[in-house]
Amino acid sequence: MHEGNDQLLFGPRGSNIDISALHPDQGQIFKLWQVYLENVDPLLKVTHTPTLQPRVLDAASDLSRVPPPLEALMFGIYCVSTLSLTDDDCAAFFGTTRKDSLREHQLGCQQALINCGILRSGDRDSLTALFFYLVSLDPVRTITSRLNRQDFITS
Amino acid sequence: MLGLAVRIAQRMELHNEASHANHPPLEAEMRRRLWWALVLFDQRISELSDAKVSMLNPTWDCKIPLNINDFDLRQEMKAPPTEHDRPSEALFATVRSEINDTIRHNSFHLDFTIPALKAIAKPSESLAAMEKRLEDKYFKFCSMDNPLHFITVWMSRGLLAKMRLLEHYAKHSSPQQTDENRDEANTHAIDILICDTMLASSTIIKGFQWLVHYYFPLPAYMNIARDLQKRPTATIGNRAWEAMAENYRARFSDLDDESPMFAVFGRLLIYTWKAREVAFRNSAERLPEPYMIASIKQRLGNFEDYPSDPDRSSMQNAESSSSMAVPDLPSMDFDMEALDWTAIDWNPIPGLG
Repeated sequence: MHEGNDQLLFGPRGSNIDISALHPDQGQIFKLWQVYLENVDPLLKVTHTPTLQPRVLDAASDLSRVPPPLEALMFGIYCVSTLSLTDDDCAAFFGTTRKDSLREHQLGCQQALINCGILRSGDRDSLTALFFYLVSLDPVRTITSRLNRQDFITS
Repeated sequence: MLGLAVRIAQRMELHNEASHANHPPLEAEMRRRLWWALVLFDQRISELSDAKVSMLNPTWDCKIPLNINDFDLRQEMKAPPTEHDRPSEALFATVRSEINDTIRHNSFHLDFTIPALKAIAKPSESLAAMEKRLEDKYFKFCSMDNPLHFITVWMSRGLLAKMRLLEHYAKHSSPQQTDENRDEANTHAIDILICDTMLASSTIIKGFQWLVHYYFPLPAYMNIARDLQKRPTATIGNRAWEAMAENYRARFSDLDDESPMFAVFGRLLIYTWKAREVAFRNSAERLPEPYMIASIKQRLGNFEDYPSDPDRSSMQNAESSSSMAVPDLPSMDFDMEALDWTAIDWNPIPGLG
């Protein structure tokens, strides 16, 4: 296993985390799936609801046996759904802040992506998961690049 | 990291239309949708990080997503479904891809990214022709109470305005510009802001704001601000300030924004307002400070870090590397002499804000 390369993705890992424990509880999974269908899927259209929904519901009933690409996709969905929620929504649905929720799901997603060997994979579900993870990083607030130069402000 | 996702996609041949023929229609269509979603996201990230090169170029041939509903696609299908002639569930993805499919072949887009690729670009329709086509094919069937239709129409209009601005810069790149040309550029920038204000202030698309957030129209503000710093008394100034103020309210009223982008954006506007105040200081009418300026000052605190006498040489050095987020603007004429920097009082005005 080329685990060393996987570190390039997300940095050094500690011992392998059992990510089946990182999923939200079943009720929250269904809620996040609903949020995804309302807020995210209409705009991105990168999953096919009639085929994915049964797979997600099935997986939610036994989280210890989810195939790695599907598991990564589920965590990706948690990430991108949470991104679309407000702080108030998160507090109401999950009792957490949006920031905390997002961070949790992103960590789970990172591990799930490593578990499906994303760097070597040709699997569309895994790539979709990576895409959702990246979208959820919301770089708008963090990218500054050349913006901070004084010359940008005054012509 | 996004580059990694694009490379994985290319390794999977998602960019290559011929490879999709090796998959059943459902899988083929999902592959195309994923490729386009990645390309559009990659394009946006490139714009935000001021990188010139993105995958929105003519080197690949993956077709755009079909205007169809999810239930039109079934695993056992042997042939692709027919597109709808009315808006479907995929409207937003389809229209966005369709517009960008034209853009990636467009010579003014390539002028600002990779000019050498103009050699392989397909001749593409004019903006006016594309706009008419979109109107006839999609928008006239859209209902503004429908969130998906609403976001599609307004994001498209904003994108077309941005393309008009870009095309303007491509055509008028010499340092000396007439007032009419500058006003025309500002008109496009104002249109961009108006479209964005529609999106950011809409309650219908509450669940879609996470995407609207990605498309903060900084270049429009920049275009207006740079011009108004040079021509603070231009008549288009009133309309421009109004458009900026409306957009600011829509974007920043509820937000507790501490992002670096806000700091830069805020300071840009403060300087521009200062130029206007100086220009009008001898006029009979004192200009009231807009809510937007007061709000920015309040959020950014004191401006003690501003130089009291901006270093002219550093600004002249900056000219040669124009630093627009997108597009990389040709250097417009920076007539430093037009504005007497030493006459500007950079200290915050007490009593206001």
